[in-house]
Amino acid sequence: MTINWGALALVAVATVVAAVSIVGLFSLGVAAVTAHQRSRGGASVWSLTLVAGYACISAAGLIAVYGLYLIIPQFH
Amino acid sequence: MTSTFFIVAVVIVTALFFDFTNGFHDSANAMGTSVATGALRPRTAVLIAAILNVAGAFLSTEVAKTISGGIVNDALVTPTMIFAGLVAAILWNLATWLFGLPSSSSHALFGGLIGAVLIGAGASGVNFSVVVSKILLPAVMAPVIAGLAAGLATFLVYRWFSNADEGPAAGWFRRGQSVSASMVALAHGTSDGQKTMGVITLVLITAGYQDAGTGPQTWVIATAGLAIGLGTYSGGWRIMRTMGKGLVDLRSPQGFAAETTSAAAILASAHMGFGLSTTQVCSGSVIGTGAGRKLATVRWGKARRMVYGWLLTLPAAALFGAIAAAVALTGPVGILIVLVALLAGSGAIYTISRRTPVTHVNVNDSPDVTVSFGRTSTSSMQESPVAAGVATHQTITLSGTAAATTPVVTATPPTTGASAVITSTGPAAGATAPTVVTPLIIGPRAREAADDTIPGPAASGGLQ
Repeated sequence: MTINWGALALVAVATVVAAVSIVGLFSLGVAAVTAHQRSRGGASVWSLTLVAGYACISAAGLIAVYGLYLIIPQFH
Repeated sequence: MTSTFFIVAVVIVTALFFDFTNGFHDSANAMGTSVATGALRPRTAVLIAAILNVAGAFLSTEVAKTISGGIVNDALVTPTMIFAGLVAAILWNLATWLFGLPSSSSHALFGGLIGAVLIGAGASGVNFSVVVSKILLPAVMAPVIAGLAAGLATFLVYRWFSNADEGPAAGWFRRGQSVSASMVALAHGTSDGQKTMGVITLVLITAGYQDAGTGPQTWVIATAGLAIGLGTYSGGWRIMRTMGKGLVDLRSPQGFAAETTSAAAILASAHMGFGLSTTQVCSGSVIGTGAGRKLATVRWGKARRMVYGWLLTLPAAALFGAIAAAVALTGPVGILIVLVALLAGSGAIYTISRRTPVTHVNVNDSPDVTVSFGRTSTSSMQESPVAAGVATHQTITLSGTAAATTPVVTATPPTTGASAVITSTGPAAGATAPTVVTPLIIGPRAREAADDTIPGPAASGGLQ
């Protein structure tokens, strides 16, 4: 009986790292965007918080695009 | 018409039927949490999942080289054994659906094949070490890995962002969840849609209708994709309810964490050479995300019964497969008998499911999927016989009596009043004897219904 423990460990680590980083990145972005919306008194429409927030959400979106690349066999 | 043509036609139809059950069984994996958190409306969710499943089926170009991936010796497998295995898998899929149990369709298929091959070719036809390394070990590891990842992700979200499920933030998480749920649906289409195509293609090659080494024909891709898509669209609402409402009361950040973890785990396992069952990954994520927010929000009793269901899937499907093979291998008459038994069994399960229907309308109404074996139909979803908030010792007493009633298809008079709900048979109640409807919570042990009561805010501290 051959069990590929190495592959199992790799899958486990990849899952934990990917899940925590994507969820963390997205949450950070949402936290920043909503914090900006709450604090906005009407003066500044854009702020560093908002830009950073959208950057985080976009980064999470890019990882999703990479996931799409992995799913569709025609791409590789 | 030769007997070869007959058996090939029967196998193809059965394989497409299996593909349909595969679709509606696994619809919940992708969409259960999205439906529960309100990220997608139920009909929209299954439509998206169906389209992505069909798209996935068309995208996957690589045909399975073997039917079982080495679990059974493919050289010994005949179309009749495949037929018996498919019948067993369909019946097990329908039975678990009736009880709202998320279970692996692949494991049901492998189990059915193992049983059929044991009868048809003997123990040497089954590679038991591969069963351990490809089914049992992944079945243990998949929920652990997914649960750990989803739990950690959820824990961190709520630690850093305590009001993540309020106001506009919840909307963001719902949108994010729709994206990750769609990824799970697409990934599911590429793997499971292709499985049925592989089975049909291999049968066509064995029977000499197709040259060895060629890919699936266009009509095979089209019909298999259509079957899984129709299955997905039909919803499998009973399993959807367990996934989305039954295991955990999900908030949108949790739904997002669960679906993202599932997508990550499925992609990692598909590309790093250690296959994990989609169903077990998704269920593990849901439980993990419940535990990550607050341990008490997970209905552990329900989770435990789901694990029992996973453990039973392989042996139960193997038993069905063995019986089906023993009958089918006697000749064309035997195959016909198995076919009739399949139709009768499916029809019976469908009829029972109609007594306590779960549809796109009421999928989110209750965490429980109940099954009624009584003679009359019950019009509404039976709540758990134990009301939420009742003291624990009382719930155990009540459900302990419920356990004394053996669920049988024919309604038996109740021995104790507490164990059954007596309903009148409508307007003409005076003329007919009262009929008995035995409410059953999913799973083999009704006494665990105590674990299923919703841990209200007051009770949550007392649960584990």
